[in-house]
Amino acid sequence: MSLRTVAGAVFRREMQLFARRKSDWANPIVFFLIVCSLFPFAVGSESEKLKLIGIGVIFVGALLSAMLSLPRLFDDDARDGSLELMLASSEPLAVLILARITALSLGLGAALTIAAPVFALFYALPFAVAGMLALSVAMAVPTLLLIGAIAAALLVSARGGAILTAVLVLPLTIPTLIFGAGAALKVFYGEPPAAELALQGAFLLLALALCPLAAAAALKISTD
Amino acid sequence: MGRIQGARRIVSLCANLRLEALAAERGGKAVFADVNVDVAAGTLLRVIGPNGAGKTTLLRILAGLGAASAGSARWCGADAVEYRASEAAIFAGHASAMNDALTVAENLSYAAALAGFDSSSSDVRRAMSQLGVEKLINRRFGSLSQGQRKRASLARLLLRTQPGERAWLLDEPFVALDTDTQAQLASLISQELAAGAIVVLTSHQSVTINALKIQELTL
Repeated sequence: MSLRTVAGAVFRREMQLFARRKSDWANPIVFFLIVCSLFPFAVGSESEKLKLIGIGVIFVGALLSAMLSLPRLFDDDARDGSLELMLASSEPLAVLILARITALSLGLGAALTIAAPVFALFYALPFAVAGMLALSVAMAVPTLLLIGAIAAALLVSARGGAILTAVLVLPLTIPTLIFGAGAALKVFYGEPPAAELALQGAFLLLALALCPLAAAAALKISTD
Repeated sequence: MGRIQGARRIVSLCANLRLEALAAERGGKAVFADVNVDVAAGTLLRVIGPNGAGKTTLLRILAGLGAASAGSARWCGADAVEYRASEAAIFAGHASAMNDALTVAENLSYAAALAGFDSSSSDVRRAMSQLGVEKLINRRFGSLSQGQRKRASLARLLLRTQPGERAWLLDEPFVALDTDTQAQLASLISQELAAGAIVVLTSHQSVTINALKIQELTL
């Protein structure tokens, strides 16, 4: 049995669960919608002001709602014992974790990427900016999930894990936030966003290289 | 999963389980220390001890899920090759290792893939029919009754391509089983032992298991 088969099985199961439990992606989207629609009530409805804050609000909203699904990465499996199947597998745990994060990134990432430009139109942002927001959300969600996997692994089935996960993960997403929202702002001001996108991509690649290994180590520590 | 050696595929891996001066601790406190035992193929090893003696901890170490604080637990093949715990044994703990939202078949084929068996859906069907619960195969695990859940999760042990391929590590397997299923499990264990597997078992219940070689380990 090759690594590819095992990683494929992990990926497929995650996708099956995603399709089976609609609340996994419906809840983050509804949360995202509510966050985005609360801000205009608070700051007033002047469209120039809304346009400026809209980019930031949508980006932060997307990150927060992606974070909501972090506990489900390992907690359910720890409760029903299927986490042990993964831990006891002879294939490298980091690769299996990466397979899960990839599946979650595709599912949740796609949902948030579709939602973000729609919500951008609520804020009367131009189409070009909405498109750039979609692109930078598409890059930011996997980064957040990769970083978050470490926290989720450390806090697997810990009490108050959700809040602690937020406390651990959100500071680490600041670079992604700066460059992701920055890229959309650049487009808003009519400047080329290449530098921001490149840096955001670099963070994604860095997370891709390091986080699965760290999450695997964390998971082994917390379940031993 | 067998190691390929030349053209020959070794099916039954573990001829021998050897614990040498094994010790474990939990939360910085010693649970057990200096456990020495040598278990040959086809042997039933009963692990006995009061609550908190470290029976589950021992099984988790044997399964490669936990680390020993001292000593070693080694799975050795007939050709003195040492195998990783993940290649040598299947662990069945208190939890079912099945997700409520997935069907029994989906859960089992996932478990088979992760355990390294190249199981097809026909293997899953065979495992389920061996336990007499073939009709549950496409039901969601969450919709099953407690007894059905127990049986379905036992099917995980039978997913191997050949009897005796893996050692079984069973943590209180008879708990919450009705007498019929207890007898059924006992006979499955006997068959597996006869095929040359090592079965390590913790149990508070006195269920008779037919085995040629029985060893006891008191913690």
